[in-house]
Amino acid sequence: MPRQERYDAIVVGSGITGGWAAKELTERGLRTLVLEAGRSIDPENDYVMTTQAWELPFRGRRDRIKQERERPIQRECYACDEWSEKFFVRDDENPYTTEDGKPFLWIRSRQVGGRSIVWGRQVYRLSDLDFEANARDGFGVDWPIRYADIEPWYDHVERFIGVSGQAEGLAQLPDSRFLPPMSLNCAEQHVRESLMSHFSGERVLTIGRCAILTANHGGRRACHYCGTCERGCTTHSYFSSLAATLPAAAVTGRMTLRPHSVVHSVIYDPTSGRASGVRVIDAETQETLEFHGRVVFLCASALESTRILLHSATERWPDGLANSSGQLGHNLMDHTMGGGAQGNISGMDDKWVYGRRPNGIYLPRFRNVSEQHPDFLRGYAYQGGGSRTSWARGNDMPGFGADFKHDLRAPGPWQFRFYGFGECLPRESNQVTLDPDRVDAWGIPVLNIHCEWSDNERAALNDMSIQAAEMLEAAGASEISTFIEDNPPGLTIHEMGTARMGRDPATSVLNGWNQSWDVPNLFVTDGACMTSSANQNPSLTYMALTARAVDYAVKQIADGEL
Amino acid sequence: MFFTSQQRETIEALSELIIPTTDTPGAITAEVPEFIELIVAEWYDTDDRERFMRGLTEVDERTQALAGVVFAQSGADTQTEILSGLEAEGRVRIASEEDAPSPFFQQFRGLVLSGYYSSEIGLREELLYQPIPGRFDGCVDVSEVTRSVSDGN
Repeated sequence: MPRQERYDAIVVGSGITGGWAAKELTERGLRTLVLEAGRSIDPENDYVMTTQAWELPFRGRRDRIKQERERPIQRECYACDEWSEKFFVRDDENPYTTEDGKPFLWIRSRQVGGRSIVWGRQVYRLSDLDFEANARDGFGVDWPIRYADIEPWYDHVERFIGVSGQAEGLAQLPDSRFLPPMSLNCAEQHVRESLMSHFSGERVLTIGRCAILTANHGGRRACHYCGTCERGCTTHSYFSSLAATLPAAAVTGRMTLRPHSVVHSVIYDPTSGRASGVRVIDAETQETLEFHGRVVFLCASALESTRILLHSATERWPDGLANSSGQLGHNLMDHTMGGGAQGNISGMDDKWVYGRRPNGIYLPRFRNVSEQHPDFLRGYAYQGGGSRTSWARGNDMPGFGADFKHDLRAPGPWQFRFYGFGECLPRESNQVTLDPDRVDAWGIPVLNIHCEWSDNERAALNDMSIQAAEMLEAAGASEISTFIEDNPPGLTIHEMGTARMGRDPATSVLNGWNQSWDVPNLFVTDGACMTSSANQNPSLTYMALTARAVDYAVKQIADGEL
Repeated sequence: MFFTSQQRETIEALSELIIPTTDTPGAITAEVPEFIELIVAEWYDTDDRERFMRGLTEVDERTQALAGVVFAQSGADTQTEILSGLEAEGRVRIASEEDAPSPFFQQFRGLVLSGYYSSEIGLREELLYQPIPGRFDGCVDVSEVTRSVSDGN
């Protein structure tokens, strides 16, 4: 008989949504168990913010052979470098399968704090252009919520995490509650002004909206502009669950955080029709444990939460727990990335920047906002920005010797780059299933992932590249070159869907409160819940939906419904 | 030790010729040759390593043919002539063959640059070292910051 413990609430995962569930549940009085598959992280020892390149064996070039052996997939992520690779899973312990020629890159962290330690920190609200998208063009099912439903929860989350940015008053990209914006650099300011006049205000280049503090906030320090957040920030200037939500939950005295706890399955009690708890494998001892709770929140990341549900099949739901719709595992999405252009900006060689801003520009969606583009549905946005080239330009210059060295000492030409991120349509054929032939290091069946871009995504990527060049031309750039990268799905690390919210239990897994239609005390509030992808970086929406779902669950408990 | 002492002497001479000691230390003081040895021995795949070793041998062969001594023993003018020749040939190859692997000069210079500008001397003495700038200003006069700032990498 496994050991048993009882809590008011169980949260699976301690990353960006698990931290929010933990904070909100404990602050509302629930004794909450947070289960994390990976190890504890101690910023004092684990963060490598002050480690310099010369202190590393390969000077930041990465240990190529070791990465090929241990992290052949994770290394595709820019942040999985010689400093920060320890914040990513080992692929040999965490396999998954794909069909030949149809790659999906699944980038993962297992540690207290999850991927919020290495995330991109860009935060954007969705708008009704996004929440109404499926209903408008018929792809996927209608979102069960609209902007007005989530707006107060965006406010709630932003007040706590701290978001720097510039209010622009755009309907398709509602403003957040902002801390002061980081400044645009001279090249970016020039491009902003050129686009404002050339496109009559339709294309607005603004500073990236990011969960990085530009003023002291909630006990965390303002950014010191060292520029490499993904190495961990000892002043907690960017938001992570480890820096902010988990400490807030701990302060209540009602959180039990258990690392090394790999969730095997959700335990379903057919008598009550509820989830009674979760089964866990202790990653260090391989012991099987059970934990019981009144409500269960799955916040393990989109594909891990879905994997747990698929692995929790019962007699009633042989294809996965809470799957009477048959939609569990389907409608996998990621954002496309990598259509764009770059060019040189002249006339400001006497100007430069001071400090390393961990943030770029954002140019919100302008396609299919007021009129329909003939080639594709939905839209895209650009990130990128201006910078002066570094010593690395020496690789493309003629020469060597004292003059060559001296030339590289000064900054090179100003360059500007637009790099697009596009919406992905929800399609039933993009799906994950359990692979019957393979298990991970803890004996749990792995996922088989099938995901492909469609012509719609490819057409938008193509347009990103054309429009980027047109905007650089409008800004007077020279030496403009376009690009369309061929990135496989997954690499944008915005994987989402597979347990979508909807209005109808026959076609969706979750209702408008992130609550399972089938098992009422089971909630899924990470990216799995997404009904469509929009084109904005999604973490802010996951956090807001999590806080909203907790509010609903707590009220249901108070009303005796749960 | 991966290289022979003769190979090491050639690498030292080539490195210092590319990033010499000026008002700041050059490649040898910054231990660029040691970095190159590590990368060639423990980082390169077989193809890159073979290409590097072939190129290195050719440097000495050419110098022998031209001046009757190995590269490290030859005079400054000979060394410059050999290296300039290799660079020009490399540029022609890059221009004519798309996606061809880097010719030896470009491969070697790439190693010197990444080794030098990730060394403590490169980052602290040659470039402007600002580990914690403390603020961000998007538009300042270049005269306020005369050197490239280490980019943290």
